[in-house]
Amino acid sequence: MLHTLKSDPSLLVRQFWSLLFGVTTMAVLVAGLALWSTANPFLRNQQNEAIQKSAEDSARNVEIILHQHRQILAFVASQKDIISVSMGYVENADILKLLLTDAEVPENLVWLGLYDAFGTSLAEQKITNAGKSRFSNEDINSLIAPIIDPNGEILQSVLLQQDGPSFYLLIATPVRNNGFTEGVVVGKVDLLIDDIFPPSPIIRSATVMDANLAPTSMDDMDEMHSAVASSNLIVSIVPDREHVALAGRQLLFKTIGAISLVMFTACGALAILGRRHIIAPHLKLQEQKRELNELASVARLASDSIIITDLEEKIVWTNPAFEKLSGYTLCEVVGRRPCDFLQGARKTSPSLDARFGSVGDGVPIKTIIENIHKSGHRYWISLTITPLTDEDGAAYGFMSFASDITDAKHQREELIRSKDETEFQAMHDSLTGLPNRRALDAALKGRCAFNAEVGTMVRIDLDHFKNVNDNMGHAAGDFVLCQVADILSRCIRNNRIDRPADLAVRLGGDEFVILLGFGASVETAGELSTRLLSEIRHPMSFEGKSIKIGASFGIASSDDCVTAAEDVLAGADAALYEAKENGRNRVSIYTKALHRTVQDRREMALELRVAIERREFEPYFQPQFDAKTDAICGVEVLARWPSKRLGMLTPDSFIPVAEQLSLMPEIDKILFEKAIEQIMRLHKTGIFIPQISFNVTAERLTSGELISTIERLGENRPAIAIEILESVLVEEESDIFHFQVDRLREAGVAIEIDDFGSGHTSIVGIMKLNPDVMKVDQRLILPIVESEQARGLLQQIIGMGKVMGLKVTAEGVETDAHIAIVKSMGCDVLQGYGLAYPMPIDLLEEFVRSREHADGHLISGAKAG
Amino acid sequence: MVQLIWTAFMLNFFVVSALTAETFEIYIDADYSISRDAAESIELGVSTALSQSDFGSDIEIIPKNHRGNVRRSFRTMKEFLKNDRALVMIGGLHSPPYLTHRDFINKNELLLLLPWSAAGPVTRSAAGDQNWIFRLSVDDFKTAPFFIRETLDHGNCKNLALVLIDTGWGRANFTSLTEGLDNRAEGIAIVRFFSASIGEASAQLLAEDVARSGADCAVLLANWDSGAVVVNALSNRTPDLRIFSHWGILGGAFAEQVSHETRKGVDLRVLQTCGLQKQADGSSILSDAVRAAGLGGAALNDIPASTGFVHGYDLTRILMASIKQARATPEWGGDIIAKRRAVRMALENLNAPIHGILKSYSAPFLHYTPETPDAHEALGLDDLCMAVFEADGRLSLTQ
Repeated sequence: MLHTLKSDPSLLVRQFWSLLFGVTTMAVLVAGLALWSTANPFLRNQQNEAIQKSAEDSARNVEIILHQHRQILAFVASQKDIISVSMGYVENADILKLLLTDAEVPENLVWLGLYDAFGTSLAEQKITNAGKSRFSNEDINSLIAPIIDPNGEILQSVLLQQDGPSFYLLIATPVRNNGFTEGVVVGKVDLLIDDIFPPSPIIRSATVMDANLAPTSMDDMDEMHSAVASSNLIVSIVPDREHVALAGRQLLFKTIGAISLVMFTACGALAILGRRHIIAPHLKLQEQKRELNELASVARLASDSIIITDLEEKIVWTNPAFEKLSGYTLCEVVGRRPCDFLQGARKTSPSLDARFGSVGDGVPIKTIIENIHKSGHRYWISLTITPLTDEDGAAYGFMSFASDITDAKHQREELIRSKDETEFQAMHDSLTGLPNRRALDAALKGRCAFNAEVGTMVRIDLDHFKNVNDNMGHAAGDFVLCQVADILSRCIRNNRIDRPADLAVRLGGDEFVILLGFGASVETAGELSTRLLSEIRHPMSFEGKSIKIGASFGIASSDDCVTAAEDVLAGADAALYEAKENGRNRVSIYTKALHRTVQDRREMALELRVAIERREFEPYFQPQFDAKTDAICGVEVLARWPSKRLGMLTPDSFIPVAEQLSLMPEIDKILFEKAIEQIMRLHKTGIFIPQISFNVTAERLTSGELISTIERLGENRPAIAIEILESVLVEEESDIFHFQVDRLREAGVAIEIDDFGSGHTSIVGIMKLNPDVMKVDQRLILPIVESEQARGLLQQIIGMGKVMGLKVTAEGVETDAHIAIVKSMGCDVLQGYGLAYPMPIDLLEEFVRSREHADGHLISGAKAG
Repeated sequence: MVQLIWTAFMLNFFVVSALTAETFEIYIDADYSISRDAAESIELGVSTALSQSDFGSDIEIIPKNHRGNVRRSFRTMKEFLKNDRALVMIGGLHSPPYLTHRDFINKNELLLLLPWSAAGPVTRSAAGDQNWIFRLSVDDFKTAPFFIRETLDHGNCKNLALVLIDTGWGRANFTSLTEGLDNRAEGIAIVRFFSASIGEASAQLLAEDVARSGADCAVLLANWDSGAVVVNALSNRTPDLRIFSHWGILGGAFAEQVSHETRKGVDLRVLQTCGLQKQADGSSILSDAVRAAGLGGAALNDIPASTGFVHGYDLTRILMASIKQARATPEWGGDIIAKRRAVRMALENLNAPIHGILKSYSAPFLHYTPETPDAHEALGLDDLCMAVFEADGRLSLTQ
């Protein structure tokens, strides 16, 4: 049925077009038929009239020719000489010739003859070649006989003769003497048919004939005759009926074409208008009917409850689903307002009433209300009320859809609850309950969305929190974190009328942030920080144990005209960094000076990236000397940055920044490649450097890139040692780290512990790494000249190294006293400004050559750079 | 005596019987159309004369209208020759038919009597031919001297205009007139020929020429119709001109077309034989003839173209006498040709005088030879008179 309904529109359109085309075609055909039935007789009549007129015109032409030549012949006949010859007074056979000499005669007068009153030829004159030959004497006699008949009164006589396509007339005119015919002048005239019968497409043939010879049979009824006045001639014209038929057909076709054009144009316009004003509304009506049927079916079958009311909200119709949902039958509710029995004692829902006003204005509403079943139980429905309007847009009622959402509502409430929890957890730190980094980001984003300044922010980092974890376990650490969170929550300002609330956030680990509410100044933040620091520094009790902890605070604000909104967090971080740098447990504010430092670091960072790209870093080689032989036993590669803008920079000035930017692996890689290349080139010059040492970061070591690079160098590479900071050993305990160290060792790379004694090294860690060399931190070397304690400490370290089977390298050997002491203490290798400064490869070459030249392997106090 | 009477009776009986038993036809070859008066006048004269003869009832008059057409006349001649009852042809007013066919007539022995035709050569046959043409009329060979006498001698004309019809007749007269004037002090002011069918326009031109020529007299040869046009034109242009006309103008309604004032203005005189003189003389033959013609007490000039009547009457009386004389000859027993010969022979050999209106004719015709050119002329110069038209159109003798 649906298919049938869908096919109806096209059927209607086809019927419309077929009917229109049929009517138009029929109209054209009828018009054509009518034209054919009227035009043919009309054309035939027109042709007949034209032919008749043509015949009459031609007859007049012949008549004119006749008249003209009769005049001429009469003139000839009136000549006295002609009369004299005719009367027999004179015999002159050349009379006509003499008469015509120098006379102008019409070109179609071809012959003249003079006969006496008895038909005897008296004279003749051929004027043109047409001559006389075609006329016999009998013709002549028959022509002139009626004229010369004494009893006759005929004074004119004409005889027609056809010679092929030419027609000739013999015209006889009497020669009269005193009113009596005494002779006859005969003229032969070429009729010049073309002059008589102008070409006409409607004429098939035309001729001049003797009236007595005109056919009278029915076969020739089509001929048109016209008598030539004062002669026995007639003009006969046979119409070209085919031409008329053709003209008729052409007229028919052209007219039908024109009618068709007009009809089809008109019908085209009718079709367009009809399509718009008949078909489209009809289709729309059909569509509406179809939709209505479908809607009715859908409505009856719908699971949703449907109510249709009038404008007074009185029910007109409900579907079966309504009965199922409400418990009321259609008969029970027709004429009643739904709110009168579905809302119970409330009668109506205030919010629904408010919304109904908008329905009355033509705006649909959608809401959720609670209804009362006929049986008394309550249920929730999702209700949509739509005004019903006619084609003019005037409302005539309402239609409501309601679906039972009782279960869904309960489920959604559960879901909302779950969702709220999830969202809370997502935005809060599960340990402390403080908002987390996401919450902070959302808050910052929210402020940006309102075009508000970020405001003032405090960055908090607990000092030595790691020690708590390490010493007292993570539970203690967590306890501390919760305590701190509690302090923050208590001290910050919550929602107040005078100022928006502050937001305390745990970023992670022991890092916290407080985003102060709008209007909070740096000073406010400083006060808050000081108070917080005071609170945090109060000892905490965990499982009977006292925990004391400190914190560093960095403050930055977008209100200080220094920090951009997006840089507040970074500013606070920089301030925090400075607080830490300055000894921790303090509050540091992001000032202009600090801002400048940060800016410098930023510029440095930019320069660093460019320098890496340009491979500007150059390896400087600081020789290491065998403590026993004073021979150069190796060089340590140190970084130098010959910046075009900043000048020659040492690692102290750019490595902190590079480390922050994680650029160190790339810098190390550049230095490594250049150093290896330069040393290998140096080897080719005959100068042999026994070992080359590189400082290696843990990241580069664990990445595996270093071992790959070294393996690619092949067997001719110089001996390589890598220096791993003692601090790295503390922080890196991963298997991959040790795996890569083992690979290096297997590749023949010596492993050295750098800056040993700086305070963090785990003996166990060193044992696990199993290094080849232990480089003692220069801070332990420098004081040995003056400090006995330092010397003792150094002695113990050297002793420990010896116990562990390690070579010991002393860094920071700056004076001869240092040299003497470390040698005496048993250090294996010496390195420091007291022996040689770090130097570029060419100076290294020169340095080595100078030592060889000096024939001594130990050049005390030799310095370079 | 009885036997003589019986013999005479029987002879007469036989003659009469023979005549009675055999009828003849007399052709009158004349213009019954244009010059009808002349033709009918001739026929009246002929019939009157026949009616007065003994055997007039045995001769039938066959009028043949040639309308002045030479060719028609010629056909009549041929017809005549084929007719075994046609005995004599009497001509009409016109001369051209006989001038043109004179030789044919003579060669074919066509007996032709001319009561009016005036052309001189007609009765003078070609050398070696017989002459079968007899005339009782004015002979233009004589009219030229007559006109010269009338114009120059009697009329005191000084400059003559010859206004002549352009036919053989006119040209013949031109010759005779110019020859007659050769030895005269007076001269010919102008000669103009005109067509027999001349119109008024041509006539005006002709009159203009005549006026410019300074002629004081004109000799006119014309038929009545052309003559009327020419006279009117001349009168209109040169009213002082005196016109002496041949009698050709008398053949028709000339007097009706030319007013009496015009006629009088140009002092129109017309050639005549002297029949009117006979009337004036109280001729009994004339009065008997007029009476026999059924005209009662009418005078001769009451008869239109009375010249024809007079000449026809006299010529027929001569013919009757000739037939009467011929019937006694053996040739008369022959065919019609023989009879024509017999009559011709009798004409040239009439043995008794014949009393006519104009005169008594004694041997009016003789055997023709070139030496006797007037042998077939019944009239002479003395038989000619001039007449004038009365107001009623009748002719009267000049004073």
